[in-house]
Amino acid sequence: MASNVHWKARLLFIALLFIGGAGALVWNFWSSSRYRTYWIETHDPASGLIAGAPVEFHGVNVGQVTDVALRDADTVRITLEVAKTAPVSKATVATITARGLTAWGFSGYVYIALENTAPASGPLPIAPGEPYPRIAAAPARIVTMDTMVAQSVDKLQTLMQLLEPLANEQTVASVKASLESLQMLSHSLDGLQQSAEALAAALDKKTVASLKRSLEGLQQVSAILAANGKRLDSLIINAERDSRDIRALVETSNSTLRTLNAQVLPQFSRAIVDLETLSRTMNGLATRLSRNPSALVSGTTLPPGPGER
Amino acid sequence: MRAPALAVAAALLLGGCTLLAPPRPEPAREVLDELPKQIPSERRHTAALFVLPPEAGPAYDTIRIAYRERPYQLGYFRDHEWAEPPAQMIKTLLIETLKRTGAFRSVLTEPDFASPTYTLRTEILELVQDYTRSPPVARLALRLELLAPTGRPLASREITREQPMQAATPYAGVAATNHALAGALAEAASFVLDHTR
Repeated sequence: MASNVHWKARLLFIALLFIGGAGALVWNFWSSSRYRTYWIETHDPASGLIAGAPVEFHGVNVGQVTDVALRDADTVRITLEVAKTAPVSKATVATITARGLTAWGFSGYVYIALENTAPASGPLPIAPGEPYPRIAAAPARIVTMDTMVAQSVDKLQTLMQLLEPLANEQTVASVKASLESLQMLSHSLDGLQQSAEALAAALDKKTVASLKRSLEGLQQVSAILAANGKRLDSLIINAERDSRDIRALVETSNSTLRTLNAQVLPQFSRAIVDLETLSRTMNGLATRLSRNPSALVSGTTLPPGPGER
Repeated sequence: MRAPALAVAAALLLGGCTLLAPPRPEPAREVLDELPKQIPSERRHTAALFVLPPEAGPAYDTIRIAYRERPYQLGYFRDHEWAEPPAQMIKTLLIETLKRTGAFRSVLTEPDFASPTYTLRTEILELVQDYTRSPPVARLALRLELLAPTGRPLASREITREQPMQAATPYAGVAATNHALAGALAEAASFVLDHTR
């Protein structure tokens, strides 16, 4: 009895194993009949692209990468399975594209993007000697945050190397002075703006009207001047001629004044002194004559002074 | 008719006597021309100095030489006179003395003017031969006043000098007056230099 049960169990296991194997074969056949294998060869780095990475056609998941291998030193061969329903044709181009912040890990991944660059133009043929049809590869677009940061750091270092010779104390002081000047200029502009605002406030309607009248008056004056241009020219010529005459007159006057100053004035001063002396003498004479009129004929005699006797 | 004719003849005779009298000799002409032997000097040459003509009262503003034999009385010599009014001679000597100090860019007087400049006013207070003392002396008194370039008075001083006369004669008096004046001029130069630094 027991052996019967064991036998039945073995039969059941074998049957299940057979059914499972058959099912796997059927699934394998069915699935392989749903996908078609393609190749891509690119000279760009395929950093982050791994087996199992998705393949999208115009943004729709149509397959996966099955293998990524180096063909030679600068060529990567990528094998991928694409659903037969996907409209892959001669116009299809594959681009290795990164999505997310990084090419690895949970913050990003790399996939193959398929796009038709032209209307579909027939199925992709298999080149001679190759097992699968090859899809043309476009330049990879693996621009993630880490590569961007790395590139930015490189660029920053290059920039710093360029700026290092310029970043000395004098340049810094000069930049500082320039900034202060800019600040002062800004203050001045503020003041100017305030003045302009004050001026605009002061220019009320009356002032504007007055300015307008003044401008009209100036226009009238300029019109009169323009109309009398010839007379003005004549006046200017006369004035120039007169100024030449006056200059000659002034020079002559200066010469005369110098002569007066140097020759006439001293003589005049001496003459004044002599007149004063004469006046005093005449006063004394008049006094003496008023006391003794006969002195005019007989003269006066002084008594002898000490030592004159 | 005869009386008027006699009167005219008498007048002519008297006038003729007067006109025919011998002329008096010309008085001797005396001068003041002695400069100080030692003049204070400073090499500055920064300022100009304008010297006004010295002023004198009527008693001394004459070419007659004054003497005094009694207090409160002034007489003039008969046979001796100054060659020029004393104020004129003193001005010439004062300018020369101040020039020789070397302290001034220029020392000017009328009619030359320069501005701004210091101005020196001088007044002759006394210039007399005094015979009331024994031996007689020549006495000179001057008052100086210095004005700033703005016209403001800076300082004033009275300088009085007495010089004994070698003899009681007018000429000895003139010599003593020259000595007294030389001393007064040196003192005047010191006064001006002291107040124009």
